[in-house]
Amino acid sequence: MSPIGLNHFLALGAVLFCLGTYGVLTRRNAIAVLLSLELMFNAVNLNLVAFARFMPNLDGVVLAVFVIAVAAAEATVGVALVLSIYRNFRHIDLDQVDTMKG
Amino acid sequence: MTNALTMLQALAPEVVVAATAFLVMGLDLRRNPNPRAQATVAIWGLLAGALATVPDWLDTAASNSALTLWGGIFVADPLSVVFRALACLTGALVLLFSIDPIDTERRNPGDFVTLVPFVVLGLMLAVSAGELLTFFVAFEIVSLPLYLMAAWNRNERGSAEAGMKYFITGSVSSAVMLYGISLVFGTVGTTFFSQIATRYETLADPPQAFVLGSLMILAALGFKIAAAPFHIWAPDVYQGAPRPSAMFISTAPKAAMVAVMLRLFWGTLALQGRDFRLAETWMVLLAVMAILSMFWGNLVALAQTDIRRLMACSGIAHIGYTLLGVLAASRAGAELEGAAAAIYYVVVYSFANLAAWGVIVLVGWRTGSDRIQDYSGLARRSPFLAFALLISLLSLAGAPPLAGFLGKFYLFRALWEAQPAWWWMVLIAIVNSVISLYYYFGILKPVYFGAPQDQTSALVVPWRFRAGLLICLAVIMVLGLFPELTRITLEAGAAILAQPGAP
Amino acid sequence: MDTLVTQLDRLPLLSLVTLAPLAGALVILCLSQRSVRAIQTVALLATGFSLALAAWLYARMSAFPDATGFLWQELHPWLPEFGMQYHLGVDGLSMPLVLLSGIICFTAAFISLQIDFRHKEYFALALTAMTGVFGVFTSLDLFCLILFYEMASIPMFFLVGIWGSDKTGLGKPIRRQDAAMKLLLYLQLGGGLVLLGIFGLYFLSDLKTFDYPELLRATLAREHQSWLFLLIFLGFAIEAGLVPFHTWLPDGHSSAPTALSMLLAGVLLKMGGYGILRVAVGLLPEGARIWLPLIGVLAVVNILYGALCALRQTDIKLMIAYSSVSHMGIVFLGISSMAWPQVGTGALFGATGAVFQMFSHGVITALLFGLAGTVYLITHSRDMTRWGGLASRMPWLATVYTLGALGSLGLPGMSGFAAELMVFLGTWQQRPFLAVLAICGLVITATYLLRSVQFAFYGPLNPRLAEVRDALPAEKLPLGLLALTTLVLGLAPRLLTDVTTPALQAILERLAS
Repeated sequence: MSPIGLNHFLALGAVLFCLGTYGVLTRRNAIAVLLSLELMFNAVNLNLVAFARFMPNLDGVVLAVFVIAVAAAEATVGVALVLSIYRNFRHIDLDQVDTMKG
Repeated sequence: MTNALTMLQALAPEVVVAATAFLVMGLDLRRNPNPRAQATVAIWGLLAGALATVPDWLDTAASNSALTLWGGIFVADPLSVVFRALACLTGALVLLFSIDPIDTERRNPGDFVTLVPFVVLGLMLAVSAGELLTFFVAFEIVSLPLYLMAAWNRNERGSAEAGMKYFITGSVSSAVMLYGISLVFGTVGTTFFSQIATRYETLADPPQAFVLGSLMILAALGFKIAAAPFHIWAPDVYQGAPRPSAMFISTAPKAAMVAVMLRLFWGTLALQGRDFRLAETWMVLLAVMAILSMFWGNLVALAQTDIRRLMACSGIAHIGYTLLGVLAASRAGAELEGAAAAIYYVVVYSFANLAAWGVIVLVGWRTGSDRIQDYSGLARRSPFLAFALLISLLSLAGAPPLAGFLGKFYLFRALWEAQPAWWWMVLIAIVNSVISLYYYFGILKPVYFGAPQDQTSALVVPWRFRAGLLICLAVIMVLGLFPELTRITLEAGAAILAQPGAP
Repeated sequence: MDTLVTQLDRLPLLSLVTLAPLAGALVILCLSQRSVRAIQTVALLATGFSLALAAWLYARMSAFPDATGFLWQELHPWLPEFGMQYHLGVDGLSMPLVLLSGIICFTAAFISLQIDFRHKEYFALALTAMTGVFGVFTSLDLFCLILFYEMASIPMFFLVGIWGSDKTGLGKPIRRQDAAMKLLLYLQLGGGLVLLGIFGLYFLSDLKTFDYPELLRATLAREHQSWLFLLIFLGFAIEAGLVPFHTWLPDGHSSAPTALSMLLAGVLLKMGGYGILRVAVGLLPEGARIWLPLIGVLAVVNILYGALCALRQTDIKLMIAYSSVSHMGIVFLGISSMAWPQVGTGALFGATGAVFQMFSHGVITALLFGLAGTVYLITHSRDMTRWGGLASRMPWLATVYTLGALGSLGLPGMSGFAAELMVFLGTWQQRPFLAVLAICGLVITATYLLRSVQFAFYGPLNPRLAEVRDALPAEKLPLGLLALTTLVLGLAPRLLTDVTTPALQAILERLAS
């Protein structure tokens, strides 16, 4: 059995990122979409931390810290927007939030 | 000592704008906030920020050098000066156009006014970033307030929907960009623009992950500038968002992201001159994006009856034209022309678009409608507004002697200069310009030929609108008539050549 | 006297001719909407100044027939990095067209006194377009040429859409707003193709300049010349109404307000013909030799198709518009005879005939449009079949219309005859078959023109029109001036040919070498 290396982490990151993308594209519930977005951001974090582990310096960890902060801000704004959707539509089913066409 | 002074000079615009942002925020915390006064303060602050870029220009443009801080995290070169000033002016004009309708458009206007300087600050940092993480953080400082601005009309379904759509597409693009950044960082071990290319050269075999990462960054930028095939969000967001927000979304971030694209791809990710096949791939991708954007934008615009959706489509088409300049800039030997043409075009586009949106904001505020047929007889209700719309749309359509014509001309020239075999792309762009005439003049048709639907009244143009529109029109005309001014864009474009990462 | 002339030559004379209407437009923008009389006076003064100066320059030029090259040049750098400059100058090819523009603009301004609403906007736009027209003929920088071209074509959209009239009579209706859009799109498409071709010249010649005299020195490969010629020719041909790209022409010309019909048919079409001669043939001799023979065939199609379409119109403005298509075919035919510059004098005959026809058709068609518009103003109908017997009520208009119709169908003694004769002589020496076909077209032309005279002015008087007036002095002056020009040129064609011959010979020498 080979030891766990960089590529294993990257593969896991890629799988998480794809799962997140899939979730954003297919989930109808706004909260689920937000969760999927978080999954995408955290896939990036996994990548960065893995790179930091296999590199001589800690730059990757610094990047990851920034990403965590940004993801938190994104989530805050996202939840605020979900609230606004709920106030106007009385539901958070994104498939039915489609009033404009042209 | 000198170092501190240099630092202060390079950062002065950002410091001024940040101070303005916090001051305006503080004013909003008073017991009886006065949004108009806040907006006035913000406008003067932003103008001061634009003025504060002048010393940087004087220092860097003549010698074609750059002031770098913190080992290259922050770069003040002519390119960043032009776009920092543009961001400040755009922000100031957007505020100028939103003061009068401020009470009707949304419930708590003070917050809106506060967000504008923050977005501008983000834009300024984004165009001056010399490193991927700084760029990303700046990019988020821009995006988050813009999501909120799109969703500003809390009690209107369209606005909430626009905000949500903008948020989801924007966040996905942020995540995609981050993933791309992580891959680029992982393969070359640095995030500094100036080192990526040199580090890449030392790698034994060209890693696929690097290419994939750059591709994801390109796609994410494509989302931000609404280039096809990443444009789907634009029409809905422009239509649903409050008009001043849509005006802001359609101008400032696009211009800044084009600057970032130039900085990022030239010499950094395109690896010009090192791995020629990689550069070719970029050019093919950019060409596909440009052609798709032009055709999609122009053809779909033909069918629009809502002027805001139409402006969204027209914006997509204009990004297509601009990408031709970026494309030319990624070709060895034509970098300067291509970059200068793209910069000139996007500056001109910003002002023409601001003028057109200024009219849309005012008409929408007074009549509550964005349907093109409701613009019928505008020339009689307000000759000035009709004239402003005429000039801005003519410039967007590329009619001489306005700046839009010269802009297109420079783009086509740069593209041909870069690669004569691409003359068919020039032909496509010209055909697209002719198509675009149909819908621009389709707006002007009711404006000038139609009779006012209600015989009621003349449209009164408040002085702030008058002033803002006059400024935009003056810029369009002066840039068109005095092409000497384009030397500014040439010098800004030269900054890219002087980049440390450039071969 | 001589010193005065030399003093005057130091002035930027061509700029004065070109920019006087624009200056007038700017003055008008500063006037109040109400002061109609002042607005009209400014317009007349500006165009009158241009006409007077153009006529003086023309006289100066014809006094020195040996002068070669471009006279009265003005050269100011504008954007030297990109090889653009403000460069004006005229030679024997452009000078007659400058004079033509002067005549048409002045008479059109006079006829514009008929406009009765939104004067300020009308005159400002029309004068801007006029500057564009002058500029196309005077500029020696191709970038300037495109700029002036756009300046001439874009105001037309508003002028046709706001002040125009809708089609009457048989056939499908044409609304002026749609006609305006069609006109704009076609003219811009033509401009776009020309722009692309000019880019080709700019880059492929390796000179990186838009300056015409510089580009004359360029050497281009044969296949480059071939497709550049095609692009530029096609672009200008759309403007000159080549079938099948002519559809904007009848719609646009017939829907335009009278003065604008005069301007469109009188000079805007000629910008296309001039562009072909100046840019396409002048700069791309090898390309010209490849494509010109084919153009002769298209020209005959133009002549016959335009004439046949004109035959079935009852709307008088539409009939005149189709007759323009037909007559521009003669210009194309003359240009195509330049394909064989060495065979006899056929090429020179054809080329001179083409320029002569541009001038003559410009004057005559402006005259006919002016007359038709005036009668329309009086009778409120553009449908000829509803006029009838007007000669007894408006003898002056009837006489001048008959004169114009005779000139248009090529009666000896009128300018149209001289032009067509030269073109046919040139073509006959090279391709007799085409000449015969083209002359068939003339028979049809005679039919519809004489029929229109008969329908409109003779026969029983339509009782509803018993109380109509004849032309006013303000209408007699411009229309009389146009009719007089036709007569003078018909009787003394050398007034024109002496000026054009050296310039055309220079082009033919380039073609032959």
